[in-house]
Amino acid sequence: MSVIYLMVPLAILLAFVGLVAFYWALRSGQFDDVETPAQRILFEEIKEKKETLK
Amino acid sequence: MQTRAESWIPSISEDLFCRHCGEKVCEDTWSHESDLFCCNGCLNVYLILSNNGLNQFYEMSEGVVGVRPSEDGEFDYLNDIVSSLALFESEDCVRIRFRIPSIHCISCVWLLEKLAHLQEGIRSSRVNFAKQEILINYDPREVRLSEVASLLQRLGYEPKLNLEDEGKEEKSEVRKDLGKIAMAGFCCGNIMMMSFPAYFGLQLDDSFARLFAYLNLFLCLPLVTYCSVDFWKAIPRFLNSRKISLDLPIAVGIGVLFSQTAFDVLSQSGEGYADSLGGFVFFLLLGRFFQKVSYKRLSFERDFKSFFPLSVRVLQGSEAKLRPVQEVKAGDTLLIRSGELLPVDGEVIKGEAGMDYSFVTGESEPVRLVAGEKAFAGGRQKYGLLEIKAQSAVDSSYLASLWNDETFRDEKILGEAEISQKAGVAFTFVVPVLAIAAALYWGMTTDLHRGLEVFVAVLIVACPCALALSIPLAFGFSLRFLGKRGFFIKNANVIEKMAQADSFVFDKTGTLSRSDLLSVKVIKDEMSEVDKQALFLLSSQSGHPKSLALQEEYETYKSDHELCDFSEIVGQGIEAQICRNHYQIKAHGAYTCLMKNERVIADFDIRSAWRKNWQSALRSLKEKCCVLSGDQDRDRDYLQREMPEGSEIFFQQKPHDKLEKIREMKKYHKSVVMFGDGLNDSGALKEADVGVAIAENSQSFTPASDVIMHGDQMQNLGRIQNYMQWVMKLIRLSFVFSLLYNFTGLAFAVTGHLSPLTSAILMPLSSLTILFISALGTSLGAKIYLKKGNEK
Repeated sequence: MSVIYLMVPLAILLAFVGLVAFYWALRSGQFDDVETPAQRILFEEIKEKKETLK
Repeated sequence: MQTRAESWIPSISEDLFCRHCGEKVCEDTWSHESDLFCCNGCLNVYLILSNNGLNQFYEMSEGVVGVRPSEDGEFDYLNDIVSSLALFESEDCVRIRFRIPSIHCISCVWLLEKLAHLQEGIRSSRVNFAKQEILINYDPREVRLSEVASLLQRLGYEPKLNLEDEGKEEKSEVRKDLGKIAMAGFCCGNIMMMSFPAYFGLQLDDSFARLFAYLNLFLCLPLVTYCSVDFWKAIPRFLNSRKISLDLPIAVGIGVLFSQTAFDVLSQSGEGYADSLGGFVFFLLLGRFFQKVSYKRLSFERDFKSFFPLSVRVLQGSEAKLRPVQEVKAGDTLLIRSGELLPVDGEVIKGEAGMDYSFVTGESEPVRLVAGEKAFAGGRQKYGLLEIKAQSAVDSSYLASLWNDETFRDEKILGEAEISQKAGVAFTFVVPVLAIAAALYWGMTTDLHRGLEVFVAVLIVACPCALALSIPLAFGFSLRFLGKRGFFIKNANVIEKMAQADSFVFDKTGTLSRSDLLSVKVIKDEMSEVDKQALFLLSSQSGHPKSLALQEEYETYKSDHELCDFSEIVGQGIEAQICRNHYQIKAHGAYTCLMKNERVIADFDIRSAWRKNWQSALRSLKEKCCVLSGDQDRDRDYLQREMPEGSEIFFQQKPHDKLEKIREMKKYHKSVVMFGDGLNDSGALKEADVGVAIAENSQSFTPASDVIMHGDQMQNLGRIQNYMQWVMKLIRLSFVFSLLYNFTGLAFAVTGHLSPLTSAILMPLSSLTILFISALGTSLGAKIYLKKGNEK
């Protein structure tokens, strides 16, 4: 059972990595605008369609 | 899906529509190949796009996508103030942010992000759709800011700039809040994981139990420091100014929970309340964030400067130069063209014009100005060209003096609703008394240690977590429902204040009536067909609002008569020779008349059109109503007849008079609600308990206020108030529920039976109940009161 002494801090550490990743995303502005990127992703598709038509 | 390309091609008999903006195309068509355009502007956009291979703009989304570009726009002055506007500036790169209200669809985003294709020197452009903003990086060596702005303008996306926004760096409140929530969620989740053994009543080794307890305590540290910063602020606020809010008992609760946990863990006497603390902070932060997000991006704080243009033309010698408004000094000669707003007080030097002060005084009739007369800041030049000698700088004009009135200095307390303040007070006084009493009882009957335990237990369980959630949740949900109906609220106080309002004050022009619409009533009509045609022809020559109204009324009488010797005498009327007869449109007492060869042949009563169903809306309020108008009293009889009984009507009210009236009314009434639209109402709006600014569309400027209401919603006022009363009832109900939970907990605590497990179950359960009640209740209320389609 003493493996718990290792597992529990490790589990918390893992979750902490996730938290740090979230903070990185937050600071780089990924949560500032959640609407436009959802639309922007559609642009390339339209462009490709046009090219294949040519 | 039918694409635009198919749908617009018209058959000959049908109406023709502009390829770009979808407007109806009338005479003087602009065309390119087989496409028709309504104006040169639209044609230009089309050409720019097709020359650059960006034609798919028109095929991206259904319906009309283009925006018709506005006519003029001079941005030269921008080049002088680049450094104050830029977010970043270096030799080869400038980053700038513009607000573009006309961004409305996916095609806009697409096109605006292709700016780099259209103009050399623009490196990249990025659109924030939600905020209707564009971020542009450009090379100042290749392109100037004025060129960037005019490109946007030519495409139909006129950048909105005003003094207020200048250089204001956006605060990243949202980021901070999200950061705290993430941390709280992380700590809370891990604490719960480590509390599992306790939840299931597993017997653990002592060493394990201690490990978990210490880890829990460690995870509590960020919870009580970083995450709870805002709650702690309540304590110095209480110590400094005796101001009690619901945050105070919350802060006490957090403090007690943490100290007890720390004591238990360090003295190895138990596992503490770490899980309760985690859930508590996490839920509270979520509730608060939800409330903040609901208030969204509407700008409620506007002072007079945001109404003003960024630049004016200043005469230097014989040349007119654009200059930023702030740099205008007393003594400068300004050139004000028709349609422009005068930003400073001044004296007319040359020219003759009609100055529309409706913005400042509410009087819709333009004032005639000749050389030597004084003109005041905020007036809009209606026709003609004026040279005005500035007598003051922007900040010391008459308008600015209104803003410097003391009402504008003391800010209303934001965010905290009165009802939650009361609850805060109750908690702060009742809970300690109860805790001490319980502690004394247990201390007497058993021992001191037991007494202390009970004391702490009471403080923990009495923490008004659910109570603190109920207000942001109920208000947050209802804000959304009200927002959908064109009623946007700045702070939570408004719902409470408006629910109990017993006095409603209205401005007339622009509020009860529509500022953008004049109605024509024919009083006397001795006109022949030819006269009517002449009337249409004559009225179409002038841009005066009354002429426009007449022109619209007699639109069907188009003809190809010739018109000669036209003259417009500002403030007097217009005249011309048509079909060898002399026609004249001028004022005739309270009416406007058409004269043919010096004989009156028709009288018109032209006045602002009233809003739909305004009378019944006022009646449905069932409270005292009052009208404060800046106009002359020509509508007195009509108003007296139509207003509910017992209403008061005041005319010729200057902005300061309105403010005083409201101040007086506040003495006798519980809560005064003021509705207004212009700058002239801004003092009164600010002074009233609730100031409601009326806007015709979401892009129009409104004075600073607590609420921005869409003009069409005037007819639903009564139901909006009913909904607010419903929401207040709902909040009281959730108060009762949360208090029930508190009392259940108290019963455990006072009798000395509160275990960490009970507390860990009670807290989230109470929060979820409140969430359930508010979400369900507000949407049910919206169905009953705000249902669309049951307008009378």
